[in-house]
Amino acid sequence: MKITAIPDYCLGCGLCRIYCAAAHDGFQGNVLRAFKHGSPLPRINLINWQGLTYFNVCRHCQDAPCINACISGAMQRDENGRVYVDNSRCVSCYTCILVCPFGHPQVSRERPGILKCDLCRESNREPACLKHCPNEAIIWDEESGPTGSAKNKVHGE
Amino acid sequence: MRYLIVGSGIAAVGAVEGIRRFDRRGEITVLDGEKRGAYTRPLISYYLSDPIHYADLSFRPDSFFRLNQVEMIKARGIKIDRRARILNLDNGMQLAYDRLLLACGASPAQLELSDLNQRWVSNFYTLEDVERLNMNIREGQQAVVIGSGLIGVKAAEALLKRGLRVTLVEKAQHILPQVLSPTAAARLGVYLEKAGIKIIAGDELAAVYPQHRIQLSSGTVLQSDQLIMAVGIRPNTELAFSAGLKVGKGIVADSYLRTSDEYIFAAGDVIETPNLITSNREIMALLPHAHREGYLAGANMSGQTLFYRGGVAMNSVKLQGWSLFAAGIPKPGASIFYWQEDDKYLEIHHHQNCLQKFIAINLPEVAGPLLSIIETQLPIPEKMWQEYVECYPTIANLPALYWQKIWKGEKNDSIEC
Repeated sequence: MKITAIPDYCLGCGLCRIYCAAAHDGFQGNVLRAFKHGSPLPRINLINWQGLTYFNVCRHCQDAPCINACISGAMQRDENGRVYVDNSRCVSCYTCILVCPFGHPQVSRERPGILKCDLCRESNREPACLKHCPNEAIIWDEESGPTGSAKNKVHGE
Repeated sequence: MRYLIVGSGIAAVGAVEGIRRFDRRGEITVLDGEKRGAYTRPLISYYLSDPIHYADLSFRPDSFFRLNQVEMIKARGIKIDRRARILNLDNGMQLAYDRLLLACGASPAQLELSDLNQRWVSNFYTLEDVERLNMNIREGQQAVVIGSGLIGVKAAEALLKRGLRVTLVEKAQHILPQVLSPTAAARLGVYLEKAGIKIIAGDELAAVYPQHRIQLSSGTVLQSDQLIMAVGIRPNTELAFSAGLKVGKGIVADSYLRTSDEYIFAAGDVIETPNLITSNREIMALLPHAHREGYLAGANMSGQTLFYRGGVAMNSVKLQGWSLFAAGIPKPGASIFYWQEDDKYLEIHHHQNCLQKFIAINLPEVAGPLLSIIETQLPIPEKMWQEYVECYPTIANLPALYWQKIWKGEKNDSIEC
């Protein structure tokens, strides 16, 4: 289960990061509340590489090195296969950061623990980034998500 | 199938997970010789720093063994009868097995000194060690930590946090000798001294006297209300050795984690782990490796043939707010590139077209990609590293060859984890 972005469609506008931040930390999707009155902490990153925008999101690897390496058992997989961090158990040793070949888990200066994509498991809705991408660049990866045919649909348009 | 696991640490938990992925019905028995359940040793320094906040050191939820139908026996294995496939326990019990896993871990190495057996001298390895320290330490006491490996520096940090005056003694010329270079250690040393940890490098413990006094090789005499010994570890190989299994520095296991007996496997700190870069077998007592080896051993005991490539030395540690990442091993003749700005620091060792080692201080975003470049021995020309440290070392500026590999992986989803 994972999402990905089609580089040809991604403009690097960063709306995904805005909606990501608003979808977490109890902001319940309220962008204004998150950005005007809170400290928004997006879980995903856009990396500009040679004119392409690389969508740095968790792959929710089947054999996840971060779960394997976590020293406190904070990094876990839920019953739907989503890899998430239980920050109440995290001791900020950052071993997950060291073992992720994609450089996905982030630290935040605002608070201890780790920030990583959890596919919006708390809201139990479609990931906010995917839902709000204006260009439909963010899609469920083929065969892995509940709407596995999304990629074909987008390509077919 | 009857699985018997000696040890209840990280490798044992990994093994239970590995077995249960492929075998839901086999009987699993785990021997917990320490009688404290499956806890994470690296968390003991956190416990000492704040026993209330870090009261829970368990590696998996309490229900883990019950849900996986594991029987826990609080005893140690003392003798293996390989012919009858029976393990004798220290409580007089005998257990028959079809597959035995030796995940017996390691113990703190001991200096050959007399008078170490004092109430104010402690190891820093088990939960019991830190529980006793927690009772004995008092604010304002002098603590001396012998050894500045990861255990030593984390012990020093915890004691400092509890209000003790801490001196860290390292035999090598600089702190964290296995992890850091002299340059990186010097930067960290200045920072730790500022935070209040006194560092004495290039000196070692020579004598322990009554009345809380110790003497170092240089002749320096220190007052020491608490003396913490953190001079390394040695694998618990006695059980394997007495059973006639092949043992070097640790238990020798093949690429499927099988020992020289086809029914006996071994995993974790007790085995020699193949170094991915040099192919040498060495003691690499690291938690991620222990879990990985345990998992693969468990899977292979249940009939799979999963190959273990080995690992590289790698460490991530947060110390007084600084994050240190290091992986790989230094190689003579390597070209070394440095970058630094404020409290950020990066060091890249390049040899024969491959990244051999890196040290990153307060630069978390590049740590994962750099480790994966080492592990996959991705060939990257020296010039690219030169350019990398000349510009700002961000994840986006990593050599194009890394990014090409990631983009390709993105298409085939073939990144090996």
